[in-house]
Amino acid sequence: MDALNAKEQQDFQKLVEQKQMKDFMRLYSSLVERCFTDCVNDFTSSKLTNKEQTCILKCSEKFLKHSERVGQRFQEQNAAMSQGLNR
Amino acid sequence: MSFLGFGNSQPQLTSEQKISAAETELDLVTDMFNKLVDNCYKKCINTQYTEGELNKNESACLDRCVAKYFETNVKVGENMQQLGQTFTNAGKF
Amino acid sequence: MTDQVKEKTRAPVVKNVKPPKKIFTNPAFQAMGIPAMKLPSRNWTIFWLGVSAAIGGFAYDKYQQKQIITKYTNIVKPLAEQKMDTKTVPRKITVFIAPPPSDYLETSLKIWRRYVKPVLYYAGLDYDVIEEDRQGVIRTEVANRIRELSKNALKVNDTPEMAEKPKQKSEIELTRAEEIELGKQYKNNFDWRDAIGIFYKHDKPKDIASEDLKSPNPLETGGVICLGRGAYKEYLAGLHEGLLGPIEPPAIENIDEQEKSNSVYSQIEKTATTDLHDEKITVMEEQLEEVPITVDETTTENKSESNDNNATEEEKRKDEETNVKVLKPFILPSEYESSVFPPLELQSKGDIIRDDKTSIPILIHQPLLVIPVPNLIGFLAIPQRVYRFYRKRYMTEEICSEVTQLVQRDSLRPFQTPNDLQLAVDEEHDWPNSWIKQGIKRKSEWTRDVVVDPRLGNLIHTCNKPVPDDVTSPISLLDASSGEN
Repeated sequence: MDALNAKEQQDFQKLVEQKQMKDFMRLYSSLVERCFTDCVNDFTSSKLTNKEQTCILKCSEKFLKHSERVGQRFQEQNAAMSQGLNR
Repeated sequence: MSFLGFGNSQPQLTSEQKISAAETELDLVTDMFNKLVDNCYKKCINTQYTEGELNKNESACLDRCVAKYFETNVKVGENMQQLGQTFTNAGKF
Repeated sequence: MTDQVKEKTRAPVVKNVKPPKKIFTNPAFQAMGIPAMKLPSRNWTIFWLGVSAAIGGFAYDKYQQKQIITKYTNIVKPLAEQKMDTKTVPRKITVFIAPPPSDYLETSLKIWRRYVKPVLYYAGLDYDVIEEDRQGVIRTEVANRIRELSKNALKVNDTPEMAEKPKQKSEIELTRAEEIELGKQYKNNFDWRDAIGIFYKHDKPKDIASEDLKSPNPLETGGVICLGRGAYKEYLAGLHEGLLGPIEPPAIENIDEQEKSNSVYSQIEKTATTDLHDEKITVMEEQLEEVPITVDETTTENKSESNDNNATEEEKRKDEETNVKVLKPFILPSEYESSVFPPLELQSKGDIIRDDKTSIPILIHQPLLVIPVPNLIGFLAIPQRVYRFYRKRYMTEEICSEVTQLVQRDSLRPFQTPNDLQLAVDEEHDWPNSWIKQGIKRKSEWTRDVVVDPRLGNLIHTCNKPVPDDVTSPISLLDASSGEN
């Protein structure tokens, strides 16, 4: 990635944005899957019960917070690593 | 991140090639991130969902989990390199 | 008919035949071949009683320890269940671990792992462990952290103009090398969060703040645990060295400072496996080989303080070349009084000196806890060791309650200069006499008296129990007696 010049960097930035959007979609579907398996276990009715709904709410909140935190640490670790490599 | 030798400046490449190399690197990193999210979720997060927010214990666990994942990454990389060397050396006999 | 029954019927008739060995109390047992219960002989009874007492005592002690640890982890657990948002980093406790004299680091690590770590873990805290496998590592680390701060403070004053120059260049035509440099910069500054879905149309948290910053009171930040009397002595010495000593090593040495500090860091990062005793002895032997004459002279001719100091200075000078990993102290305890505090470089930071990156108050402002590492060694001490082995629950109770106090910031009190110098001094009674004598002769850091400058002492707070007035260090007694000889 370090071989890019200024113009290529701009092109690349666009690519990164696209990737991020794709990743967001992937995140969304994986979140649905995760919360469905963890929360929805009762198939006696076709509607989500109250309990399931609160569970899903908490599940999605938790997962989003979780990935936010992991993303934060991830960036820090990456920065630390690239600094270490340059030394 | 030039784990696999991507990103080392090679003057002959066209800008398209360079960008696609960078893209591969990007994919590699995002892939690693997603695995990281999955693994640390499994190890640290309580799936009872009594709370929507992370508590301190989970947060501290996540911080350590990410640090360890990176360390594992580095260690495995080192080991791979060592193994690779012994393999190539063996081939030269 | 079985043979045994035949024997039974014959028994009264033939007198010389031994009575049958197996007597059955019950026909059902007889059918199954289970003989009657019989008490074991006296000696066996004693043996089994002894064994079961030994095992039972151990098991009881272990059980009690477990109960105590769960009691304290349950006390701190509610802390870990508090919510924490993604921007904050948990409170961080710095732990210094030193091995007991002439033993492995593992002895101290056991105490850390069994009694300290669980409480910290269940309280949802972060901890930074600094281990040493030889004298001086902790002191150097503590001092280096503060020196780094002073150096940065100096740099900030010097360089604002320098930083602008390279930026101007980027507008003009770029050379190949500069382009590569820029590419590298781009890569290093690349924010990977831009490619990650979770941050799509979602603000990236900018300011990551530690939990330690919530309260303006520095006492409510972090915490320091010193495991072992030696770690405590070195920690204090390191604080003094960093805050009162010069930034650069005293002019006597010519060795490149940068190189040394780097090697110290790499030394710290390695996990400690070497035997402290062996290491120390080799280092000491080097010292002895080089300056045997000076040591002899000082011990035989006169015992005046100033002469001793000169001897250490000389030793230091020579030792510096052989021993690069641990820095020699930049300042002597006798020079504490004459130096400026707070140091000129750090005066702009106000009363509370904070770290540049995290802006958490530095270690000296954080509450301190000293935990002794009792460790008897030697054949003659075996009865005492056995006694302690069966009473570990009392030690567990003490350590866990103190760590819990630190976690809850309970009963913090200001450092009292003459008394608190003897924190964890009980441990010194366990130190082997021969080791202490050797240490005194070779000017080991651990056998010196603790010196705390009142200006720094005022900043320290501790949650150890107050030390009674009449406690003295056994080393000073030994020191006096060896001086007379």
